[in-house]
Amino acid sequence: MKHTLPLPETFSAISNLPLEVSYQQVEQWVARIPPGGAGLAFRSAFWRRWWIGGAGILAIVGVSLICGYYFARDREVPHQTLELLPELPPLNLPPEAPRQAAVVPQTRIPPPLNPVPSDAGIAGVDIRSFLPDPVPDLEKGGFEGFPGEAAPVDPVPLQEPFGRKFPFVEPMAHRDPEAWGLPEGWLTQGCCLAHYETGLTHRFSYEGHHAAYIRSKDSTAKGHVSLVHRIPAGVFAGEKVRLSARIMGYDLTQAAGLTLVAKNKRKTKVLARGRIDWPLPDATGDGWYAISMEWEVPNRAKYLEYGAFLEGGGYVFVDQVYLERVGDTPGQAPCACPGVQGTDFEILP
Amino acid sequence: MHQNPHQAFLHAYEPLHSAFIRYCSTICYGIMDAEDLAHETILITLERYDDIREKEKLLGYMIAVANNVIRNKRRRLKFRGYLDEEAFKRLETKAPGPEVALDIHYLYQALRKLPEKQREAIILFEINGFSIKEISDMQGSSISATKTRLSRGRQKLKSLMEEKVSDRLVEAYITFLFTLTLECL
Repeated sequence: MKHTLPLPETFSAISNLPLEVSYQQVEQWVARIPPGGAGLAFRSAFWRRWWIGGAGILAIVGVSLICGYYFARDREVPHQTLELLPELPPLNLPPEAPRQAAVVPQTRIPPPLNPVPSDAGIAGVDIRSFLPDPVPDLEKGGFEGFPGEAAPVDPVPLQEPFGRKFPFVEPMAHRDPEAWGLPEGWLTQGCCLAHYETGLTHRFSYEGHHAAYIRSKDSTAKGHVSLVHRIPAGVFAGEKVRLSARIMGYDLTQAAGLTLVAKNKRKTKVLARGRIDWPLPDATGDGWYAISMEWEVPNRAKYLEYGAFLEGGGYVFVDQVYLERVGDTPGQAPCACPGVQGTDFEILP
Repeated sequence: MHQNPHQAFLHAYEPLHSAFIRYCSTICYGIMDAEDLAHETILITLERYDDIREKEKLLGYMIAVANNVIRNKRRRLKFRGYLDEEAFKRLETKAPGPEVALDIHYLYQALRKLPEKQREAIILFEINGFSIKEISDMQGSSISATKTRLSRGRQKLKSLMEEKVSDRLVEAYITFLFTLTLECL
């Protein structure tokens, strides 16, 4: 036997229940509402739009922050502890070892007429008088050659697309390294390149006749330039390497020193960066410093860039830049084995 | 012609008041107070009263607004549960007797399980006394569709109520046994 509720009776009982809200109550509610708005419902509708808009803005900002975090995490660069050695450990370089240098027309680099002895120091001497004069005006067409010489022909752009880090990328077509006497594979890169100049000079050198230099055309320059040698990481990947050089600074306003950068296959992502600054307080040019840094190259590194850099205004000279694996057996020549890279910027006939 | 929109609204609302409040009382059982639901619905309707094209379908519009409010409220109550006990206490004070109150309570609970359109049609037809033609106008559907809704709604309601009654009988039997045992002891 089925038991069912009396549905019609229940429905009629519901119909006979007293109303929970009277019409007078509704009249009072309506009377309380001002003509321009309807109380909470209006306000909530009004604020709801703002809440939705605010939530949308917050979502956009959050997504941007997350994307920025992941972007910055990929570009995270460990810093190297600064180290200034009193004296560079001797490199066992046999004199008969072949030198890594570019074949440069001798007409590009005038022979040293009156070289300054390297051990004499340059204290009290205006270093600018030793550099090629006039200074090439790079903004008006680039390097025009030394006085009495023709301008370099068919410049090759060597500046890499470095726009992600440096927004102001300038074409380096007028900076053919051969024209400036730099060995093959050496690049100039950085920011505000028009205010800087790189090349070889015969006026200063630690040993031999030439040294590389970076100089700002104006002492108030705010950019940064690095003069680096780019090589495949090869045997250096995953190894501890030592970068050593002789360096001399003059009129520095910010910093100068050595830089060592590991890059990925596309040469766009900096996997790690080692850097050592030249001591700023000693900006009077007392002479050459032996400077060295040791650094672990990441396993993922495909290219290495090592060399010198200059931030702000001033002059920096660098010579005998060598990159070697720590613990290599002595007696290996710079270019005879893959474990040592570098140059002393000497131009071979 | 009423210059004040409030007066115009009240003028159009007055004949619908009873049906609207009964509808609110039925659908909001155990979810929220009928007074709150009516208040919120009236405010929303008044806000958009000028935008309503067919003023003669005001009740249908207000029922749709009330349904939306209830739907939002039920979505929030999903994590808290229904307030059936409080609603039943309030119902007991208004109903003619406790048995009738219990019947109404079970009917409300069964109505809550019906689909929205069926529930709306049943309430409007059985409780408010609207004709099938009026309900089909309010719901924007054909007469045959409204009839089908009513028929299916009644069938489903009956089956739900039978379950409720059998549950009640079992409960009563267990209570009787428990009381008998206590008396014997």
